Amino acid sequence: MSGNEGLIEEIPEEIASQIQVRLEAGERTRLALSTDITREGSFGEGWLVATDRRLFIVNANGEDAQDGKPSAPPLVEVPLSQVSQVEAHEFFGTGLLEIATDQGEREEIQFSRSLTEKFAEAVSVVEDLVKQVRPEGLKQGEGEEEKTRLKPQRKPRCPQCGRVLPPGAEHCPACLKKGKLLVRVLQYARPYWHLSLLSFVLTLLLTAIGLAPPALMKQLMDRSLSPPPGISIPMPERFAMLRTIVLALGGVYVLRAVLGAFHSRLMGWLGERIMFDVRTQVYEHLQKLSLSFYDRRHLGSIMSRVTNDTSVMNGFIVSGLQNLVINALTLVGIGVILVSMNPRLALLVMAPAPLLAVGTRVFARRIHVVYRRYWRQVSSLNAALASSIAGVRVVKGFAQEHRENRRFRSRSHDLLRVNMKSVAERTWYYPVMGLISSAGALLIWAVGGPQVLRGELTLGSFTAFTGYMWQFYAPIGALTEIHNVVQQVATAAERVFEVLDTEPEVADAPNAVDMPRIEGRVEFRNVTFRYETQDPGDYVLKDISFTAEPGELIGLVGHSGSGKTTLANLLLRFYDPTEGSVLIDGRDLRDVKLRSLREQIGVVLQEPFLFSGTVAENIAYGRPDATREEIIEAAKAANAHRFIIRFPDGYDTEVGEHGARLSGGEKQRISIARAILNNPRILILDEATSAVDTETEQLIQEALDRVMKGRTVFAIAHRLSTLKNANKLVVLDKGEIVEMGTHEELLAKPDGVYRRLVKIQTDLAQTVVIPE
Amino acid sequence: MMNLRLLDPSKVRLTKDRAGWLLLTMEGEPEPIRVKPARNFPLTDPEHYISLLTEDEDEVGVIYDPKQLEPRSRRLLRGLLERIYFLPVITKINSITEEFGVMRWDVETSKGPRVFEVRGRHDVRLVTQSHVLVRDIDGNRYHIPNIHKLDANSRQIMEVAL
Repeated sequence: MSGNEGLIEEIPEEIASQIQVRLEAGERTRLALSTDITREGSFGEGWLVATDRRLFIVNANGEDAQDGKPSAPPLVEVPLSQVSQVEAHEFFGTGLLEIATDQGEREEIQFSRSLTEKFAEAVSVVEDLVKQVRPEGLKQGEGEEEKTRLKPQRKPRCPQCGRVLPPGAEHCPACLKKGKLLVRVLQYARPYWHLSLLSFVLTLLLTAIGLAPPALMKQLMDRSLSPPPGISIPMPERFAMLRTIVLALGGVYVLRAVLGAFHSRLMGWLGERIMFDVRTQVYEHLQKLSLSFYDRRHLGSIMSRVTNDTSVMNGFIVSGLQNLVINALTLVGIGVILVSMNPRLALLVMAPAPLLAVGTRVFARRIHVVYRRYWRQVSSLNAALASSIAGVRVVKGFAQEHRENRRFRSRSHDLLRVNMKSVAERTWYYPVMGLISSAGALLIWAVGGPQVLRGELTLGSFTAFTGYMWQFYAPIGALTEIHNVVQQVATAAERVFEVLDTEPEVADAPNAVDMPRIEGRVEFRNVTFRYETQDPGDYVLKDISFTAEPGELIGLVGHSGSGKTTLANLLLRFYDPTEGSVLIDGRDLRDVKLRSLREQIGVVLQEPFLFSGTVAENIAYGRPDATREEIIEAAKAANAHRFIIRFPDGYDTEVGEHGARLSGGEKQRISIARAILNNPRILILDEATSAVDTETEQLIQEALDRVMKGRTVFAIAHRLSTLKNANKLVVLDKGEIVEMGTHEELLAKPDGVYRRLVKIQTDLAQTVVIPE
Repeated sequence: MMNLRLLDPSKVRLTKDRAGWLLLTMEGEPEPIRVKPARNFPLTDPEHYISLLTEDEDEVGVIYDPKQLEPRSRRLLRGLLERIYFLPVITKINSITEEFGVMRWDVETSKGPRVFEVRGRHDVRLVTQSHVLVRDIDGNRYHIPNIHKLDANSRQIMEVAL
């Protein structure tokens, strides 16, 4: 009885004592689980307790029957020797553990879906306990294993703090090691460290220069315009002073402009350069990653990592950090200057600072809420627009324009309301902040003014003071928001680094060798495959074994979802089999280099994919070095030359997004030409003819027949007639091989799956009879 | 029939019949065939790989290098191709003005001066990094085989269109 320590929870005293009295000597508790739903079906505590000899189901609140209803027995006892069956069921809202006895009675305990996981384990623990007292064992459920197996939902919770992860996130934003991440972000500046250092020095200089003008103003007042009473300076000297200070001020402004421009230029250069590095690195790593990485993520999420997230990181390196430094330095610098000039006034200047900080905080939070609502409304409006415009034929067909108008109007009105709200929030922020800052100014005037009049403070110092005061308030707002900025950068960085830190699952083994020229003997040996996200009991393919000899045509037949395409993916080594192995010419695919393997396998898919570029470039995609003659030859063999030559730009015709509109059949033939040019030793045709009309299908089939000669071909097709000539048909059902043989052999099976499929298709074909 | 059939230029003669069709006479074939020429790579390799198609657009064969044809055939073929693929070379750009996303090009071409309008940048296509193909609103085409060989002023003007 090891391994179920986690399944013995601490039983509350009143229940423990109830159980204790019924136990015999030496009897030990083996399982104690609390549930969160009572026997009456409402939330509340309940217990499932198992010992070596018996099971208890306890209902802690059982006594409190409501509305005079008879209460369920608070404690149910079942000797293990009488247990005939243990079953767990999962419903839409709750789960149920059912224990059947030899007497035909059923005891049950209900639990919410939050507890599915532990009760799933409980089943096997109880089963094991029962087996010890009843050697003949238990009755199995109606032979259907799936029914009793609970599938606990994967909970998107942070393993460290238990918070539910935000939608789309794979890491807990609260547990991110922000400092570490930021350091890693900054490392991207390292190759340019001398420039980064220069820019940092410039930042310091600019901050210092920013502090100069009020100091100069002080000199201007005290030594030229209005010297304090009692100090007499001769007039010519005062004029000279005026000129000097004006010149100095001018110098400071010019210097600030020049250095500022140089600094921006430098930052811009650094930023673009670093972003380029990150983007390239992320993209190149993405190309290395296996298909399984892409299976788990949305296209949009991957794309935004390459573009948005990298630019957020860049923004931080370039301006976020610099602003932070400038603001902090300015704040400290001015604080020191103010205090040294006049401590009392300095305190007054700083008095509104906390108010400013709090105000900014509050405003940022409120506006954040409004903005979020705004984005939701905009996307909901967009979604409504997209669906009604895309469905305009249906709207008009059912004459429902007025209804769409009403719907749109209501959504549009929601947006209006949110926008009005944001306008209202915004209009208040700046005036209020302005008022608070002005309050600081008023205080200075009220307290500093009399000081000037009394001669305790020079007019110059007073002017400098007010100047510094305004500079002091500006960084406060920015610094209060620093937390948000860091959070944003950390999240973006995490998403980018997650890509970079993912190792490709399918990669060349260290001792992998080049695949020699493939002869074409392919063997699947006891192959079982399941996706990583699947439960161990599930599978996409199970125990697949068969061999294809060189030059054979193998037809893969089965319903959609039966595993045909997965089989092809394993052959291309997009994934590795979970168990068993795939061999080509006797070599395990895991022992050869990916590139050398895939170069020799051609694929033609149902939905051919053409890249933006010319027809010629698309045909030569797998072999960019192909000569023009080879390209034409391949197109001819693929029955594509004839339509290509009719384009005004011939093989130079642009295809893809902004290029010529090619029909599905035309695209398909170009993709066949691509496969031909590659001269693959093994060819995979995945529903290559199913998306085109019958006439085109013939052209394509003709092209395919030409290509298949001398190669081992795996063909997946819905239209079974195209597989008649296959050397071997592999019929798959739910991931397992159910039949294998030639067309004739399989047809000869009276109850065969293949026979049934063929019959359905011929029946369908016969319903279309053309009268003579 | 499905393989590329390269015609031996020394065994091929091209003439014109009274209706204006190109007539292909091949050594060993008793009857001349009416054909029309088509370039396989009109932009990237216009002078090679000329397909000769019948009236039903079946390909008779491909002439790799028309320069190896005997002079009269060669001239005839070149004249015809020039007409089919009328593609003036832009030699100088006087101005490109843009209004509401429509560009008005004022240019000098190998076939004389021309002013035309282009709708949007999709119609200005980079065949290679330096080779530009321009299509105007009526579907006329112009090209610049190498933008780097344009004068500095024209190149400056081009910037807005790329």
